[in-house]
Amino acid sequence: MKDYDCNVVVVGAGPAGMAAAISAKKNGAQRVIIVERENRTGGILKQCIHAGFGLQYFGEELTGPEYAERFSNLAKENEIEFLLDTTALEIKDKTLVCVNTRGIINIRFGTLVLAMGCRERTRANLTIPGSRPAGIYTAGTAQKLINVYGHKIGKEVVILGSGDIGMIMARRLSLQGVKVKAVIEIMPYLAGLERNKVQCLDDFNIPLMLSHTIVDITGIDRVEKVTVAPVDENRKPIMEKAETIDCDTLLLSVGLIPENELTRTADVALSGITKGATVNQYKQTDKPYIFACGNVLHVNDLVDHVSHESEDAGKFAALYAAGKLDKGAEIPVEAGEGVRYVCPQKMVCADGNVDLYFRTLVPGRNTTLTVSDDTGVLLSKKLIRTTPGTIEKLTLSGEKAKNASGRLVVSAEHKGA
Amino acid sequence: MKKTVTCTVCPNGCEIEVDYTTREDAALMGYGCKRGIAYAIDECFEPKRTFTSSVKITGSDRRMMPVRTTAPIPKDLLIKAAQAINSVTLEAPVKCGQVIDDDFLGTKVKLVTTLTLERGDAQ
Amino acid sequence: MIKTDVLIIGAGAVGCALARELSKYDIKVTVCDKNDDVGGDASKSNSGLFSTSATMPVGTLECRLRTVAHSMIMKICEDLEVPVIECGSIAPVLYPEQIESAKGLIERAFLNGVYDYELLPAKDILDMEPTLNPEILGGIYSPRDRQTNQFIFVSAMAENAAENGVEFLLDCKVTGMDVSDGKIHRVHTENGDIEAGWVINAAGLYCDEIAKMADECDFKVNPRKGEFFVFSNDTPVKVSHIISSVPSPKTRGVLVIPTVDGNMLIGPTADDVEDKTDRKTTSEGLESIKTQALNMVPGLHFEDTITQFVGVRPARTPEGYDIRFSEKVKGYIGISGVRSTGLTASVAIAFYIVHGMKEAGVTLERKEGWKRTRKGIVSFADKTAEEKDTLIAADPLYGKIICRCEQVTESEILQAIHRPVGARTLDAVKRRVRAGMGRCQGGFCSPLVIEILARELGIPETEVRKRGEKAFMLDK
Repeated sequence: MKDYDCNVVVVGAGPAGMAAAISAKKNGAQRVIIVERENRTGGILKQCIHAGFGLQYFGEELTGPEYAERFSNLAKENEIEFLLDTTALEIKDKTLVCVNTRGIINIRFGTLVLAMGCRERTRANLTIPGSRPAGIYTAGTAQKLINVYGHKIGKEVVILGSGDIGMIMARRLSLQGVKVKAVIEIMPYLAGLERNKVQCLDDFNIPLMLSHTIVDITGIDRVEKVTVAPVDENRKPIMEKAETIDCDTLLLSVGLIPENELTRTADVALSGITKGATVNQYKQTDKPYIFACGNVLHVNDLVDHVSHESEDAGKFAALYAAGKLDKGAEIPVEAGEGVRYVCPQKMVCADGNVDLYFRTLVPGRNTTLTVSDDTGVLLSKKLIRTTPGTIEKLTLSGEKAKNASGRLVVSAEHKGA
Repeated sequence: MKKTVTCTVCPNGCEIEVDYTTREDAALMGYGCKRGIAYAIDECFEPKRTFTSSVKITGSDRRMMPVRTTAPIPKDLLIKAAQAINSVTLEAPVKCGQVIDDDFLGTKVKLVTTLTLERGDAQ
Repeated sequence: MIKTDVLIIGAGAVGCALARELSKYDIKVTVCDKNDDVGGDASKSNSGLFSTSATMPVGTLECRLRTVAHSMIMKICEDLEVPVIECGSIAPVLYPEQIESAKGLIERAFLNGVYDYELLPAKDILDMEPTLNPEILGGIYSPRDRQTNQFIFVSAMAENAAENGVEFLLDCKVTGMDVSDGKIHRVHTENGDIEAGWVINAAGLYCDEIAKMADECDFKVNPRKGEFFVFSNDTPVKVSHIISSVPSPKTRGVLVIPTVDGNMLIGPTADDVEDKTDRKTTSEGLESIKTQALNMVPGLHFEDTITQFVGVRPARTPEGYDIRFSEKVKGYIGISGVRSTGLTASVAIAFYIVHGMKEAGVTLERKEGWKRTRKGIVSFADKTAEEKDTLIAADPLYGKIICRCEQVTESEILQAIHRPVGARTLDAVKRRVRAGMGRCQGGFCSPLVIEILARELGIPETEVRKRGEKAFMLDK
């Protein structure tokens, strides 16, 4: 066994982990170690070879690998230590137990930042009936097989779910010469970003079937066809109107789930809605020496948000490790009318601006977003339109945060549909 | 002519209404920034997209090297672009931004790598 | 052409138990199977129970073999390092009209030689199994019901048989037989002909088709489909006993089962189907399992499902086990009617058949140095930090995690591929070491496992299969 000591240990060298580590270092943490299970940094960005990253953070449109490389260069400049090819197994008090081919590694830390990212929802999570042949992939797995390994996955593809990765894969496959026959979405609206519908589906004349779902998969060895049916307003399939689509591959882009198995080993409280830790604005969990950021905390729409959020996590993790983060009284932050969840779920009433990230429940136009406490509205903002696929952000000033009382509620009201 | 364009410049996805006969006289509504204006007009006359893909690479543990065009190219060229790079094989080491083709398909736009890859196994 | 003393058709529980039993003797034994892996069809897709099962018709061959097997099986599993939990079972009584059938069940169990079924008051049952519906009126407790990893059980017998000299021919479907003058001269397979002194039909779901080839078929196999849910091992509400239903008009025999691997298995349905290859789950079937299971264990989290699957049981018409040393076709032994109890009964069927062969005058010389034991693949995830360190020191690939959900290392995957009757497909790897069996269902590890399989088997990645003949993972 080998032992390390550090001020801050970060689990995961994706965009969240690298931003947190760099920020921790800049905020005074002397020794920062990132543990990464793969042999390279960058996390899932390594396989996201399309452009669209960094418009907010860098003010230019980068591809995933380019975005990741900027952070890994910064990490090297800031002398962040990487333990690559190393898997974190368990958090035991203030020790992170890891493993690699040299053996078990114990990393004693002051604070730990969780940045493990998320996984994709599978067919089983949706209970799609049918047979279980080869040729059913989650969109992200297909992305890795194609972009990183250079494989082909099939000839005729149907995509279930209109999440961003699914749409991006529709374009990728079309460019590979693969026929994408349809993108099927159970909701009456798009799950991902509108821009991806335009440049990934419309550009290649791929039909988007809203309010439809897959009710059967056929094929013994390999997928042969799927049966698609429209759904009623309660999302129940209307079987009389079902039709089949011949295909040899089915991709699923039906949502992401934070990967919190390591988090559970430390008994950190998790939110039933985000499936990530419940945190305050410092990204601090109920175990004060554990912080969380990026998609392991809540699934983000843009990596730019992840970078900002993770910088906060890294900064406060460094301060806590140095004994400089006072934990004052916390008040709850709740999702009000029209809002699915808010992250953070708690707020320390103290100086410093507080970014509230949240998702709305349904798409709408002329939306008013408000933050209120027990005394009334603290902040409001009007937007031309909002969709649940987009993360909204409201920033509460330090002044207001410090004086907030009771509980914070974030709500969204649409004037138009 | 009237056309509604969903802007893809940034994730906001503004819906821009364009009323036009020529590039010069186009009247626009609903844009959120200047880049949106340029995008919407291009979209009416000559739609363009940034092309990204990956090409084979030898001499590294990674088999594919991600690539991009440094600027958008005409949308109609996307499929041709994908076919054109099938024959490309790079050899590690490669620096991020290394030019593969400085006049990709005659567009005057560069095709570049988007990842730095050392020779041999991962660092 | 292959010549062998005994040809066993079918590498399910019965075929592999028989192969292991026959491997004790100085004869050449060959097992062929149409699948790419041992484990059969019905044998691998079921609830993994070694149950005391009271519902068998009293005094039948099935009853006798199963009772004998139950007493032998723990020792065999110990020898073969097959995981078993003796968790016992509880059948809750939910409706007053079930009380009579519960009593009937206990009586029937007694007549079948199972004396330790008891009807307990609700409070005692709830103390033992607090996850049960608090409204229960009582329940039958059966202390000796067990659960195993059925695939490990069958493959362990196959591995042990192979180590003792049995040859396994996989991806090798039997297509016909030359039968004349009361003898099988040749067995045709997709991979060439086999000449055998004895031909044993252990083809389970397909035993009627094989029996027809041998001209010894007076029965029919009716496929009966059973759908199951598998729950993630971190689901918050887990049962500690096998929960079964007392038969009543309102229940259809759904079980909630804790598994040796820490998952839960919920099912099955029982639907007679025409097509033996029908592996489709249905929304009605899954919905009915859900309703019945929640009625017994209301706290179950169905959103923690990691997969659903279908098992097809070989129901026989007419019913009942049938083990037949053919009078008409010399050297042909037919086994049919082996249903779910067969997982347990397999080990007794093996002894029974070998005994029958001796009685029929076959000289079976016990060979020297027969290996009784088989080592399992040491699972990294189950070990303490110190033990893990020792494993890695001996084999660094024990430190390379491939399947993050189940913490399966590259070393385990290599062992799964390279041991006797090793894994050649993704599903075969999954069944042996659980890579891809977790929450993400292979999303993260399948590209890596494809790479490892291709490298180790010396085939292109485009030739790597999920399972079966043409279930290729990738496109060429």
